[in-house]
Amino acid sequence: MSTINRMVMLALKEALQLIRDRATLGMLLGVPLIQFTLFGFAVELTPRTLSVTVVASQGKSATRIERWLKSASFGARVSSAPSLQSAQDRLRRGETLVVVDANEYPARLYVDATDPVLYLHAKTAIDRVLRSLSAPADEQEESVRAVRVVELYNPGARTQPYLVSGLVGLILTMTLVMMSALTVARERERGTLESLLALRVRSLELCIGKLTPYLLLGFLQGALILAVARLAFEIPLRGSLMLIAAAAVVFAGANLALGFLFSTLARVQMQAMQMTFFFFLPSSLLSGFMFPFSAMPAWARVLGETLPLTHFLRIIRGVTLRNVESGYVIGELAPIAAFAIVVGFAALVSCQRALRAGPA
Amino acid sequence: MCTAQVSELAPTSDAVREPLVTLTAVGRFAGDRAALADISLVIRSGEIHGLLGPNGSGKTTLLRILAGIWHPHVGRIEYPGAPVRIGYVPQRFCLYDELTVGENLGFQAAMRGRNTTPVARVLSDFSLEALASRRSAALSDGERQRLMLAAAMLSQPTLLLLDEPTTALDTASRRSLWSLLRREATHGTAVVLTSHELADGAQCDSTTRLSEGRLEERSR
Repeated sequence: MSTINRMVMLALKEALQLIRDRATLGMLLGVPLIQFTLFGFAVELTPRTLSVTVVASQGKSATRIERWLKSASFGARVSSAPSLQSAQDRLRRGETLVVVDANEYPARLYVDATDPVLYLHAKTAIDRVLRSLSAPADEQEESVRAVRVVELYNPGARTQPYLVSGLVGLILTMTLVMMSALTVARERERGTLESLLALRVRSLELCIGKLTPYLLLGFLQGALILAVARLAFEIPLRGSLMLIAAAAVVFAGANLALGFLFSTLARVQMQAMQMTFFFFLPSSLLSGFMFPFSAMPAWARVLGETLPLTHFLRIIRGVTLRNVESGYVIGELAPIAAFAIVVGFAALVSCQRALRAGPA
Repeated sequence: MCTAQVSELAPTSDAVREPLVTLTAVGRFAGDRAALADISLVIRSGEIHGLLGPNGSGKTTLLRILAGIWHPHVGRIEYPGAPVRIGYVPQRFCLYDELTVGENLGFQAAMRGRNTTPVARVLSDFSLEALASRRSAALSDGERQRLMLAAAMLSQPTLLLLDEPTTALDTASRRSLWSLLRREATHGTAVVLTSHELADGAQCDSTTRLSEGRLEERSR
């Protein structure tokens, strides 16, 4: 047979294999669809609204500033707070981006500089408001133009503190889901599952026994990344390390549970890897790691809220940069824990089914 | 491995062999196809029973059902006497390449819980002492077979199941394996093995021949 014929036969064989490998085919067609959807419809660099909290004990002053903010073209969502303290608490919890203290003369603006993209957006919007108050300037307008802007939590709106702190979550997601996704699939592929089945291993034993080393590994990995972030990038640690550690355990558990679920569903390790990739893509794009969460459309934000990484990013950035209190951390941990419980239960059921099905 | 001669270890007489496992009209499906249908069988203590037949005849399915890895979709399995301790040796090497011989046996012993033979003794019984610290990946086929058998014997099984145990072995290793199986049977262990070779069937006390998942012939 000629070389060309042999090449044609090889190509036909390869095409048949590809068509019959549904997981690979699904990935080849599914990944571009997900990418188009996420990049085309979900990812936005510029938020549509700007959350502003105004503090003013003198009614007139507050009304005037609110009117100016609302009249500006950037779509400010203005609310008021009874005191500077309560407004700054909201700022710390990430509930607002800008606090206007109208009690000060000239008025003082506190801007959350944690996320450089959002900070830049807020700064641009404020500048636009101030520029719009053009001559002839009366005394009241002058007071607004003389406003002082204070950058909080990340002075200079540096990129590293924001990205590097977020990397802890991203790397843990990537490695823990991937490693746990290989566990049962590897046993099945190598034939060692048959030996475990003969030993009457139970799904809970298999799950806990297989995932425990990875939980410890994840913990070690998180500590290593934080240490490097602190030493090499001078990322501040303003909050409690214990809060981060507690959050990391729950977060690692959620990721391991998901990986274990993938592992019980996959027939071979390659399939498990593909499932991991399917999860990793939306996780990195919809969690607020790369692009501002508040800039995404509502449906994408709802989807993003279901991802453990979204909440862990808020925790890690909140604790390291904004020194958030434990109540905030618990509030963000609850959805991660719920994810871990639901997915963990599904993983156990799937594992039982896999054990009943037996070796390949 | 075992050094005892076959001739020294005469089969136990049928009269003293107690039924250990009874299968009644057992069947299992693989999708729409019956991988095993209407199999009735009695396995007795101290007997070596061969499940013979070509590839795809249902030997491994039946062995896995006996091992408790798969449940029968129809029919029933009964254990008339005392609780049965099962030792199972799959056809494919099923221990961990990254672990040493000693570590693999230690893991198997720990998973089996109490009343297991000490690892050191099993290493000695199966002439694996010199290989104890060697990774399983570096073992020859014969050594791997011996290791799997050693792992199966850790729980002092009353029912020893082996899937195609002679396939990858040379003549000397086969002879050695048969000596060991006969010794275990003499001590009261029921041995069930699968094979597609008639020569293996000749070594068994009784055989069941399967074809396309059905019982074709039984001999004693």
